[in-house]
Amino acid sequence: MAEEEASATIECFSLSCSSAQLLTAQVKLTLGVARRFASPPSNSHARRHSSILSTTKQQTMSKLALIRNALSSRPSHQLRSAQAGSLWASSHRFLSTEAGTDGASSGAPFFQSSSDGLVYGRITGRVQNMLGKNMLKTDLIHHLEGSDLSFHDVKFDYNRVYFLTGVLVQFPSRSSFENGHKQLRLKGGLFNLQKIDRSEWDIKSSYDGKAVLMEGIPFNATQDDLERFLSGCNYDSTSFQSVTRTERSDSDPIRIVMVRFPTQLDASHAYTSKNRSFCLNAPINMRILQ
Amino acid sequence: MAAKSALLRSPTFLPKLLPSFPLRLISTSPPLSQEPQLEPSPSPPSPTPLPPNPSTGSPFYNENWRSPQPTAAAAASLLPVPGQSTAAGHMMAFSQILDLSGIMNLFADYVASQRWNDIKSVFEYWVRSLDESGKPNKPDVNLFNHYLRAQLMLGADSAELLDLVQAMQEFAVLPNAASYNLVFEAMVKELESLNNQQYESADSQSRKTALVEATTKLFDKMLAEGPLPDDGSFNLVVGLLIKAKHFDPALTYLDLVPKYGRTLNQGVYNGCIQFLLNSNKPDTATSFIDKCKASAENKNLVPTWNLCHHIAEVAFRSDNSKLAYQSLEYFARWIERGEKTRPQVQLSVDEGLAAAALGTASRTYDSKLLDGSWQILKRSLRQKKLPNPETYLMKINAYASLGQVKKAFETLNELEMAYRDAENTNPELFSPFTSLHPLVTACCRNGFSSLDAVYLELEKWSQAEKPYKSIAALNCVLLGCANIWDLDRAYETFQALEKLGVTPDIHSYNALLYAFGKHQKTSEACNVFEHLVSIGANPNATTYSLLVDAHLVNRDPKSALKVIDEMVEAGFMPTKQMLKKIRRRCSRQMDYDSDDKVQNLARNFNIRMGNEVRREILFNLQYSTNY
Repeated sequence: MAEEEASATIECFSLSCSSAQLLTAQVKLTLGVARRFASPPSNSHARRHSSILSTTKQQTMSKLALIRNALSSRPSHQLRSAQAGSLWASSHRFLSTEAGTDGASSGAPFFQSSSDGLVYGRITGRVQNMLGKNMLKTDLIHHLEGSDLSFHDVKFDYNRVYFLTGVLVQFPSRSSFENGHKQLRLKGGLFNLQKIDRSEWDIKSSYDGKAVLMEGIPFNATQDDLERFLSGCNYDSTSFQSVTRTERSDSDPIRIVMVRFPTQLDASHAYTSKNRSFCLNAPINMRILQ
Repeated sequence: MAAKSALLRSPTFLPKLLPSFPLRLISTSPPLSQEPQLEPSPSPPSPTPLPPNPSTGSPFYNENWRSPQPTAAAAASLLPVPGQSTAAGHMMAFSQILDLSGIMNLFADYVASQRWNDIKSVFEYWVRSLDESGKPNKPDVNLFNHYLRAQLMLGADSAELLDLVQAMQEFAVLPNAASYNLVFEAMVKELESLNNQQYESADSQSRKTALVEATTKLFDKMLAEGPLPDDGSFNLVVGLLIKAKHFDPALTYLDLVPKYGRTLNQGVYNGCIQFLLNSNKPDTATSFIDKCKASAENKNLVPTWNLCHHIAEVAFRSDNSKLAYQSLEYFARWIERGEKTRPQVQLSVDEGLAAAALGTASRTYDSKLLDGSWQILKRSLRQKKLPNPETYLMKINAYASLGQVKKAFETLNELEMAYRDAENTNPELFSPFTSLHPLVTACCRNGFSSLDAVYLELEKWSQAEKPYKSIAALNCVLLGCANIWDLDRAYETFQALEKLGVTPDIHSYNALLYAFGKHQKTSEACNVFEHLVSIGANPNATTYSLLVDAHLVNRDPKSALKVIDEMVEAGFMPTKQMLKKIRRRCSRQMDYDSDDKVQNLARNFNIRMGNEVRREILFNLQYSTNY
């Protein structure tokens, strides 16, 4: 029933209106129709919708191209959306909102954000892929101010040798994601932000500032020696994990041990009191893992 | 005759710089044929020679220069004979009528349009042709430099360019720094191509070392006698040495930079700092940065943002406070620069980095670094956010290690105002046993006198206009008294808490318990515990561990175990240290029942107790009378 209404109204529109009006009306209608079918439409609907569009396709092909250009005008910073490719290809799905809408294009009103779900992004460093070694979660939240992030919306992504490769961020809404872009640009463009899938977010676990990395432990140090190094600190003695890392191609490998603490305050207390103190004659550098 | 004298007059310069390549000797005279001579028996006195040839300025004076057409005999000159292509013929003819300034303009055009071949051929033709006064055209140094540039662009290597530079001597033209710069550029190009080669062969290695030696020798010569090197020379040479990873000559030349008042360009500056850091020489990096800042030309050089981070990282790793401070200065300059550009870029320093700087300041006792790092933190946060509590704690730690107790307490005040009433604040944040322990140590640094001074100060503050009444601060004093085994002061401080208008919290009771326990006043310690339970304060893990300690001081492992049972009932877990202490006491007293209980506990809570081998070493020393 709904489709018949839709087709009727479209035909009536195609008879009378000017081309611009036609196009806006048509797209509005498609959006409205699409919204009514909240779940992914079944095949018959899909065919129906595409047939609706195809009848008037020749007339409005050029105007479609116009809208497509307006939509896909990229902002100067890099937004690589995973959905960009499917923008017009499958026109029976929802029309995704592109970031190019901060311009005052005529198509702005009906491309307001309709998605109220969480948006996930990944931040990487722009030059040499380097993020600050001393970056805290709060630093990143402050960097992306206005995006309404909390401590638990940020997860730091370390690789096997505990080198920071990227940061996963959970934005509460689409607008905060775009605000994040704006803030990154405002703060010097040091980082890239790209959209990722929810699955990546869910897999990753965060240390939450409760783990400390000890770098430069001598290779002949035993668990007792490590515990002696950390005496006076309230750590979790079952949580020692050891890894070897080579800094540059021409330097010696160093041993790295990660240890967990029950609270963040314990970890930072250990860092404050034990950084650069000695374990078996070697000074140990410590870092708090976020 | 004229040829020989001309040759004698020109300074003999035979550098033998590139021995692996055939030297082209500068000889303008064709090889003389040796004619057999008679025995030099009393030779007639040779007639006084004629005065030397007055004409200078062109080697072509030695040849038949009066006919403007180049002949095959003139091929002995180093400058190659220009080709007789007809396409260039009109150009030659045109250039023949130009004088020096005209040729300069022409070459300027050619350089702009990058017509290197044309420059080359026109130059060669022009020096052979006669000018309006009928003498061979004499180029000056700029013209020659154009020619060298053309040769460089056409791919001449450094050896050829060097020979050409020497050829300038014949024209009685002194090469200037720009000429040598072109030679250096050729060397740099060659080194880069060698570096870009996929596989390092022994051949390329030796070529590289040869290049480096040649560069250093040439540069030394320039410094010693030749034209003074200019900015370009320094930059090229230092850049080349860095790329070839020969750092010691680079360092010596870097020292000369401020002496000659030269400016380094940005790329070379970055490169220098990078290699100084990588080669593990933070002190040299510090002195280099200082020197550059001192010299007027170089003081505006700032490394890239990432390089600043790298400098900071190296400084923190090696506990080099000067280098850390310099990196913070660079960050500050970048932030200023960012705020001045339009559109404004708000750069900021990570709080983690500032915290690491605070840590370095506390270890190296550097108050300048402390102030600097706090300032840059404040600048970066731009009043939009408060620093984390952990950062405040690090600042307290830093002040405490420097002995500036008053400032430490002021920071504690800030921390309390910011975070005392915030939600999800860890109650251990203000515990003098863990977080504020550095402050406690600083309070009792000079024994009771410093404790009294602090107490009086706190009393004054609590009665000031804006009263500062902080239980955390007074707890630090209390624990300090306990630390120096001063029970009377501790008790008095505890009683004074009420007078000052603060209520004791769990930490105050813990400190008092600690004080009693240390003096083996176990019953009083237990009284304190019962008192705090009856008031309604909840004991925390520290309370129980202090109580266990009190019983162990009293040599009573059974009571200690009772406390542990209570603790387990209350939901806390006994720690490894606690169980080890009880076990030790049991073994000393040979109390096997309690020892069994301890082992059960360890098993229940999965605590790996380990052995006491190290401690036993002291008791197992073998004394003997032999030496």
